[in-house]
Amino acid sequence: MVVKLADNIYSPLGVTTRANYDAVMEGRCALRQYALPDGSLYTASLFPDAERRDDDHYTFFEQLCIASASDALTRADVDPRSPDVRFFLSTTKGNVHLLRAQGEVDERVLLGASARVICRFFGNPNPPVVVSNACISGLSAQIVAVRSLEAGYCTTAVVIGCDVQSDFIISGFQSLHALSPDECRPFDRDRCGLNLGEAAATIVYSGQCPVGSGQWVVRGGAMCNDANHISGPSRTGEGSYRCLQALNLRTDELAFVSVHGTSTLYNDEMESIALERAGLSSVPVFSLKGVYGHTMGAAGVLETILSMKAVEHGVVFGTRGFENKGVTGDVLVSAEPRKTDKQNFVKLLSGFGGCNAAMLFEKFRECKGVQESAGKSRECSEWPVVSLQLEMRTEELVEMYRSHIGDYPKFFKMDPLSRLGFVASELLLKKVASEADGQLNTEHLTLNTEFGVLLFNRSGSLADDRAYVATTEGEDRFPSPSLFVYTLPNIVTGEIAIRNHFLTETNFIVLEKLDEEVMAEQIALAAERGPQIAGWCEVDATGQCSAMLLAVPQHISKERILRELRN
Amino acid sequence: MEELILQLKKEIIEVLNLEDIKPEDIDENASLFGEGLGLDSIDALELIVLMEKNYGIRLKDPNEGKAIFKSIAVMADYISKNRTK
Repeated sequence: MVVKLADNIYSPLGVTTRANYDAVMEGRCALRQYALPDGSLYTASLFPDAERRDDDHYTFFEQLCIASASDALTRADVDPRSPDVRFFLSTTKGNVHLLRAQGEVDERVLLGASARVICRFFGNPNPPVVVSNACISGLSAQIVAVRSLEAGYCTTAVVIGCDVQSDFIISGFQSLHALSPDECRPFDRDRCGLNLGEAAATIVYSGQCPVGSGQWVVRGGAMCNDANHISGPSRTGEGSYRCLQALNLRTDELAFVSVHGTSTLYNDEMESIALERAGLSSVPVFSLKGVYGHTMGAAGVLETILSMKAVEHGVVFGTRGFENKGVTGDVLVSAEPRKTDKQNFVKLLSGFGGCNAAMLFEKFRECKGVQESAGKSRECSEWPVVSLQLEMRTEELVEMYRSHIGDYPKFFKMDPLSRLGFVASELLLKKVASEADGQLNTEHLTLNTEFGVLLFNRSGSLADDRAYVATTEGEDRFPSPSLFVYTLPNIVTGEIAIRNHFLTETNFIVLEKLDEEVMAEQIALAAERGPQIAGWCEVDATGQCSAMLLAVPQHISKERILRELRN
Repeated sequence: MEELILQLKKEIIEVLNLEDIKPEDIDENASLFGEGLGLDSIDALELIVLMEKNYGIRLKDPNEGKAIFKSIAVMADYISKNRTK
């Protein structure tokens, strides 16, 4: 069983979990109104400018990660130099403020390089795993960490969630008309957009510690794409609903659901529908966005920690900013805090690229019979592992699309990374169809085999990030909403899910370099849940594309995947 | 107006990456969203940028776009009445 050892929240409201919990209970928040260059107003929860400094060794983003993880590690009494400790970093944009449209790319813009700097500070020898799965990153990283602990790939996992705000992100959300000028109002009828926020939060988990009464354990986690649209959630809440279903919840044991509640029109509506469909109308829900704003990569970690604190104090938080219900789903949301004596809660998130995630946490009381042992992989030999490799320039992808695919005009709207992932996955699926045992044809596979999608790379969405930055530079600036949407690397997994109607787990991991060992581990863990399209999908700063994708069946061993990746 | 309609078609094709579509393929009276060109919500936001960048028209509320982006003809009419550049 995976147990929480310690945690930390480092936000504009305080630099410890305790300080943050107290601030929330006292009704404080750090949301302030700011003006954009064009004069329009937005509200955000930001650190003071005086603190926002990159120093000679560490960027502000890295300083926050280090400060948060240092406090959590001290409390956990864990030596981060041990090879049994692994770092999992959840972030959407890391040091993107260092990116310019032209010229050399600062290495630290790459999430893997920045994560390495953080690991080096702690003397940790292992390659960091950066989960960049849009707004659900904080839960995706916890799920990936928990699985790694359960599989014995490490004994301690340090999960850090962090994002800082910059012109890149703020102008992007503004171009999407997603920012509220005033404090946001989750689930309210007058809600008109989100507030951005910045924070770092850390949870240290152990996979070997004996569980004592009162400790927090992870009871389950699920991710599911809704295959609807890269920036618009499913109107039926399909992805979130499926995540909640997968957790096999007992509503009478749930203190609350800590929802995403971004205060955008579509997110809150979608969540209310998913919650009602999952039979959770009688369970209290709250959103913390009216206190912290949307802290992006930190949100899943920060909101999990605060929810644990709330249960420990027998409290269900109120939803700051909520007044009159403005969603159609039947949900129990309130502005005021309430009391609870329940010991379990659910954390729910959803994000661009169609991704959704939910986790179930329990304040441990007693042993509930024998733990279901994960069991070693039952290797499935019936299916061949199909692989596909592509090396080409971004310009050549169009030719590849025209000659081999040609029936999906949306391809031309995609950024280079999504184009590469799309072309490679299409060719891979054609290959699966032709290499499989003859009973399968492409149509059959597309309609009936639901692959999860797990992609890795080094440069994230760098090519599109630079194209977007170009629209924000200069006096004549018109930030492009369509370019901004693709500045999340996981959008490619969403494009593949949408094309193939995969209502499955989708995730994106950034590594410092192509690392077959880490990839094989994570692909095998994901494949425990179902067949996967997985592998390397990289577009570098020069426009060189490189894809190495596998189609693997469920229950495949890490060793088998490693062999395929090294072939 | 004919000229503006043709120009708008070209601009929309370029900015929305409507590859393989030529100006003459677009019926200026057909719906831009849903049935017609099948544009989506991000395309609508990109059209708002186009209006400001090329014609100096700033829509404060994206919902205003719904009526203006009904078709190319409606859009051209709105632009001709409100353009500042």
